[in-house]
Amino acid sequence: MPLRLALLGCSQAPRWARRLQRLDTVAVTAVADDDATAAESAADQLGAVARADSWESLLGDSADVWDAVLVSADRRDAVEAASGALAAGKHTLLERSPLDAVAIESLTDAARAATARLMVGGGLRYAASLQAVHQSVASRQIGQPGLLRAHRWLPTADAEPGVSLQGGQLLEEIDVALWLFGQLPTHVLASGAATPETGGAFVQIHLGFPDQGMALLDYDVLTQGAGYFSLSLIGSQGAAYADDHHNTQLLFRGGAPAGLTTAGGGCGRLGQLQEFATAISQQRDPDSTAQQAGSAVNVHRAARASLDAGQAFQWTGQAYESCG
Amino acid sequence: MGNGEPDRRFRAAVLSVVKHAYVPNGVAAHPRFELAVVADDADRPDWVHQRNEQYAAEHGIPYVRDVARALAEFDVDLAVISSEAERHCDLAVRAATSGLHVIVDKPLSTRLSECDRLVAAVESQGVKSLLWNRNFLPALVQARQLVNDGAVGKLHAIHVDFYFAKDAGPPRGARGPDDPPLDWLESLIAAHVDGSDGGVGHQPMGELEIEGIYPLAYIQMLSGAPVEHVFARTAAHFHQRNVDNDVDDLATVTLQLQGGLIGSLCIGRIGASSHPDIGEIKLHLLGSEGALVVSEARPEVAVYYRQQARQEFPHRRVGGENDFLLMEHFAQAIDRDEPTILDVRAGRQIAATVAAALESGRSGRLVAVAPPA
Repeated sequence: MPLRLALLGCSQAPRWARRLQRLDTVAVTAVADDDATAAESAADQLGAVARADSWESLLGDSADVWDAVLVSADRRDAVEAASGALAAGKHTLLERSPLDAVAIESLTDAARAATARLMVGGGLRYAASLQAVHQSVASRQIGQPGLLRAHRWLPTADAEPGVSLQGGQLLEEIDVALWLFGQLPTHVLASGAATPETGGAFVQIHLGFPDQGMALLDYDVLTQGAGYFSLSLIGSQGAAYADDHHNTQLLFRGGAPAGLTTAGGGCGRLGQLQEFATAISQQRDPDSTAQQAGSAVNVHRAARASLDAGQAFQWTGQAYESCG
Repeated sequence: MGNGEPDRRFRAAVLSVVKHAYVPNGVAAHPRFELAVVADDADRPDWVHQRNEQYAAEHGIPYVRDVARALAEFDVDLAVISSEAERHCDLAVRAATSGLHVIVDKPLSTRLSECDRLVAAVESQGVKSLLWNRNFLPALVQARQLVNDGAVGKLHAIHVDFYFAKDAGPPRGARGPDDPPLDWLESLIAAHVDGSDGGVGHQPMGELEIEGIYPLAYIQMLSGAPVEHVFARTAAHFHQRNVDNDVDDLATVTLQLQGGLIGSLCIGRIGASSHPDIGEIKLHLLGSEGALVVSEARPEVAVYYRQQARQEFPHRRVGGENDFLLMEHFAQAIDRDEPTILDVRAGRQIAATVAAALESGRSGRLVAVAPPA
């Protein structure tokens, strides 16, 4: 029997409808959104039997038709909603991690008390390309990770609101870095530059790890056109390259050809949901744990502090503190 | 100091040629330059003289064990310096003070004070200088054109990955507990046979110090902005030689440039098994109007065949005119008394950036790049 899932926050329902066609272990049975029209439309697209205009209503009137909830990335009340769902004994997946490690810890406690499964963010790990990269590390094909480089350039339409790191930019990339290196960084430096043309900012995070590993992660919003993602991991015995540049086709329509990126193999969000459902069915914690999400948030917080201070931050054993 | 003779042929003295000879070969390949003599100091060790003599014999020119005499007696216009790294500046200063233009192999020096001494000598004599670089590779020429044409608008970030997928002696961990550490100079002398002796010299140098000039010259050329602060992490991740001599073979550098521009550099000698070709060398540029992703290797041709040797790159770079264009540019700089694309002052800034990065790697702090003396 598929996992009966409630979707809280319906702005991405069309995407979920396409993704869920490939996942027969999950059935969306309830949806909720403050916008009743959006909820209605999502229910039709996803075949949900219940719809609600708030998470309170979802937890009240419709609670008996679902067992787990996916709290969509667009919910600003994600922590509050997740807390309520866990208190009701519902398995909970936060599509995107909140930027609050204390809140994540509180949710972890709530999940433990309710014997419910909790998964917080970590979606980028489940992209097909990064699964392959991680496999190359886990199998020791490329040896000990030494250097991770990632570029995340979003098209304007997909950019998070807010400037700099305040909107959670690069949090998923930090999570991937911690996942691949398997440890917390000792050094964190963030640098940024305002980009008035997009109303945002370019930002770059530099991490140093205890075993001499290092990572450079950057984020920007492109003023026009599609986005770009590139990740390379240099190991002691090999390297892995997951790069849109390598997966670009050419379109000739006059003038210089346009480059078109060929995606494939499913997106990270689908894998994230699949892992959540599998963990529930196997009665285990998800691979991407809430504790790991909290670690990524702490590093992200150090990066924000570094950006504000203009100094590198170093792990003291208790916290990240300025080296300035 | 223009010469006003656009067809004039320039005679070059090669001052030491102890590692792979791409610099004097690149000079000699241009029709306006000819090699006249190889010279070095008489007190150099035998292996240095042997290599100098061999190179001179291959080119049918004399080898003189007296630098001053060679510069005085062979009617030369320029000196090409390809010695051990720590001697680059001293030989170049002696040439410049003799009124010769200078072409220097990388790195410019391992000491900033030596760089400053060379900058002073070159500028006081009014001679031209060139630090050997790759700025005229086809992909870089195209990138520079696009940036200059405003294709991506005003730059706000520039990133370079510069990986050489080459080995450098035994891998890290290969040394037994009773084996002595690898001696830097001895192992570099031995590495001459496979061309992995770019850091030959008495003082151990990491990849950042040896090869950093190339990507940092790209950033300098494309941004036009000096680096003000750096933050770096460095590691000896691959090669026992680097571990034993406490120098990096892998590094990341955050670059904070004048005007708020942000840059970064990933560099490493990452081992032959890490890439099917010479290594991933890429540039990512972000601007107010767009972005640019550049593969330095293009254009290239792929050739695969049965029993292909592992060390043979199946993707072969083609259309590379870097050496010719560098020397064409250098000749024109002399003819027209114009600046060169990477003179010793610019090279000194790169050396200062590298020095600051190495300090940052040790301290874990953001470090200011030392201004010129």
